[in-house]
Amino acid sequence: MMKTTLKEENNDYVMYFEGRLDTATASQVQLDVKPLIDNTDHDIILDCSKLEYISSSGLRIFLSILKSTKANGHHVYIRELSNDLRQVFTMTGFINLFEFK
Amino acid sequence: MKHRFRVIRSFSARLSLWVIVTATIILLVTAMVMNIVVREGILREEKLRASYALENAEQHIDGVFIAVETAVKNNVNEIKKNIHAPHEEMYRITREMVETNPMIVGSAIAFEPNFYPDQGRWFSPYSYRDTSSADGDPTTVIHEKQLGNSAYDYPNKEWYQTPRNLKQGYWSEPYCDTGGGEITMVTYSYPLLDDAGNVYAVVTADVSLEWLSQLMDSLKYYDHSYSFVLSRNGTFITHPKQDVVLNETIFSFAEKVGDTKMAQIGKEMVAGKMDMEPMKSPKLGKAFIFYKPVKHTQWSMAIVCSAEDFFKTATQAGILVGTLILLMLLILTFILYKGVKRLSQPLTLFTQAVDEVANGNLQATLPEIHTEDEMQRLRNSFCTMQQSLIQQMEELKRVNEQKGRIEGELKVASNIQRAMLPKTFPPYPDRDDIDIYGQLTSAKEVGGDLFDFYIRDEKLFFCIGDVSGKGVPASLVMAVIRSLFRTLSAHEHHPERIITQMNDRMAENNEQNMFVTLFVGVLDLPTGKLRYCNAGHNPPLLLTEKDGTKQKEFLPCDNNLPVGVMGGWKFALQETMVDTNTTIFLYTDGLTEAENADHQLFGEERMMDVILFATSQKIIDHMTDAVQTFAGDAEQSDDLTMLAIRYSQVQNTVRFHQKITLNNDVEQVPLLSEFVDTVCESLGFDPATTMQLNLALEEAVVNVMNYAYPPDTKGDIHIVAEADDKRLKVTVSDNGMPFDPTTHRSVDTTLSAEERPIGGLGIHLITQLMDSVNYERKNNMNVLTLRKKLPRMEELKS
Repeated sequence: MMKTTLKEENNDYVMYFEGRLDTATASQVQLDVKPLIDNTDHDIILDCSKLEYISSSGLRIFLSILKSTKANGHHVYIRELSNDLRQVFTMTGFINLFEFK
Repeated sequence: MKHRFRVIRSFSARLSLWVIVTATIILLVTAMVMNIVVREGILREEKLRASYALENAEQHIDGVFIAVETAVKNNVNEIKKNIHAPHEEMYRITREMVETNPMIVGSAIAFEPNFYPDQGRWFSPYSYRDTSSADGDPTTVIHEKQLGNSAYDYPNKEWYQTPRNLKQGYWSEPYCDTGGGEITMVTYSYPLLDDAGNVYAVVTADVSLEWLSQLMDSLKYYDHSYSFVLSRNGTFITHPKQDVVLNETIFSFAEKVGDTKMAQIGKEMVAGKMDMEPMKSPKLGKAFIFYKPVKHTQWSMAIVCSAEDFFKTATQAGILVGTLILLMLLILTFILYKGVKRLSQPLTLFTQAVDEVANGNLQATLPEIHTEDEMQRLRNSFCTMQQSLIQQMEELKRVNEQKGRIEGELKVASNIQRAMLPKTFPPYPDRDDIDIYGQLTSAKEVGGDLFDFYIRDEKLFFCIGDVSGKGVPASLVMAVIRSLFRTLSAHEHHPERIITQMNDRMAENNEQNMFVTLFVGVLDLPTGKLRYCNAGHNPPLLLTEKDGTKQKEFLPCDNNLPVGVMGGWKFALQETMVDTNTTIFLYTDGLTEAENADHQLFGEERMMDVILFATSQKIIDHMTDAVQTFAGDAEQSDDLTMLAIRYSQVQNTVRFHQKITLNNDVEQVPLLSEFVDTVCESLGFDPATTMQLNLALEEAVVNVMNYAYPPDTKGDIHIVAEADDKRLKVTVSDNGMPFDPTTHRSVDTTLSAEERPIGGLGIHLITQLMDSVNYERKNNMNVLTLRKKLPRMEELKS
């Protein structure tokens, strides 16, 4: 149901999300994003072009990535977020926290 | 007329008038008293003068009569001596008597009948003066004759009988001597007595009274006075009117002219009295009569004088005095008028100055007064008044400016306050289950009444309240209460809790002891369940229409304290079911206690009578008209607020029903997702909304999984999806621990990443995504009801 791919592009870590990031898949994704949380010297791009759905569990994962990366003085960018999901970001105020590409 | 009023209204004219009137009265009274005194004096003088004149006349008369008597008596011895002498001697004696006494016109010696037998019955030698002779010498022509004869039987005559019987001298009544011209005569008879004392002859002397008339004429003082003499029996002896002499008595005359007063005077005169009396003379009119007796003959003399003659001088003096008085009064009037006008001149100037002040020129110059009198004091008072006026005007101006500023601010405050109240009616045009209308009429610019309502989670929250007091203080509290209502009800749908919290917050710092009567209601629109709490407010009226019967009743309310009176007070919740087609009518005491001019109250009974079964706006408009008609011109004393809520439950048939039961494992979430997708597809939701419903349901279910059941315990979660024509209703229920997610719904979305907590997003999202979220603990189960409006048919088509 949910697939993540981590790539390094132009010295940035890019994580591709594909499918539904709901509570059921969140525990697996939590493990998948460990490298991003542990990362200390790269900006991060979260590619959401194929993300169909995100619930609060998913948002929490995004927030934890943001908190750890910001602590190292790096940026987290969200890329290619669909309008429907952007609305969720807006409702929760997450739109103010992240930088969008 | 107009001119006269103007004169009378002038101060100087009025004062002058008073003085003139007083002076006139005093002078007139003085003149009258003087006149009376003068007249009295004149009368006294005249009386004295008349009595002297009459005295003199009497003496004259007495002189004549005594002379005659003496002459007669002197011949008595001569007669006695010659009684037996030849009869010629007797003729001689009579002749000598006439010759020597000019007053005597005739003299007789009448003897007793048959005294001389040779002479027969009558012997009476008589000598008399012929006054009718042509040469007029009274001494020359003296005739002699025998008096008695058969035609003139003298012994029976009065002049003979009376002295004979009295044996003393006797004056006869005057009579007219027709023999020698019309001469008034009087005869003195004297009896001759022999040694035995018997009368043998009577000697007489006839006296003409020509001189008496002359004497009386000489008593005439005035042009219009006359005098007369009365005999013993009242016959006129002399009188200027010759025809009354000897022909009339004063009594017959009085009777003829009908004058009783004259008869009265006649009696007095005949009685020998002396006096002065006013009378009416046929000749002179108003007159005075002075009368005095002639003792010797028992006659009475009188002088009649015209009153006009008497008082001529007095009248002349009166006219003179009157003229003088008139002249003096004219001069006095002139002087007074001019003087008073001069004195009151400053008053006119003051009037002008004060008029000027009244017209707004406060700096008007006052007239200068150089006299140190009342006018000076008046000027000082005016001066003080002027200064005081200037100060007061400035003060007034300042106060007015301040007032204007306050009024301006009040107007702004009023606008702010109005903005706090719902003002768009109908408020929910797209809803057909609720019809609300509210109206607040402030007695002042700002007031202490409030009402509010809004719908959250398919629940209508509404309140109506009345802050103690009026005006600005009440309006501040009103604003606080209104904002507390909104704040507290945002997370709380139990009215008693809303009110309890409000009460605690208000009571905390309530130094002014302000309080609010407040009714808070929460109407669950899908079910018609009304939860309410009344903090000392007027109980609302329920208007129900059921099966064609209309009913009006008050909503039963517990007796609670008003808000703000006592902190910590437990307000109790009350519940009722509201049937469809019921109107809840809420109001403040400004309605029931509206007063008319007679201080009668509008009252609950009148309210019940007036109220209509109609739309909310009609109910309130009709009630407003009724109150205005009742109050009439009476000023509105309190804020008047009404709120009508008409509820019609929409009974839509359920046309869709699906359910699923999950256990508390997050791995079951995809099943939920499937279920939601199926439901959304059946109901025609678009993909975006489907995703939102997915998200909301997942959050709701995960919340239960995470919090309702303790870790490592198994439990079920029942999800039921139902839909009528309008809405989708999803119920999530579980029999876990009581957990109300709606109390944690607020998330601060403005915090930075570092500050944002990881949790609490779920319920926030549910609230954002669904139209309403309701939690209830029912039958030991947590029941969360989520509603979402169905897409409209036209949206579906497009």
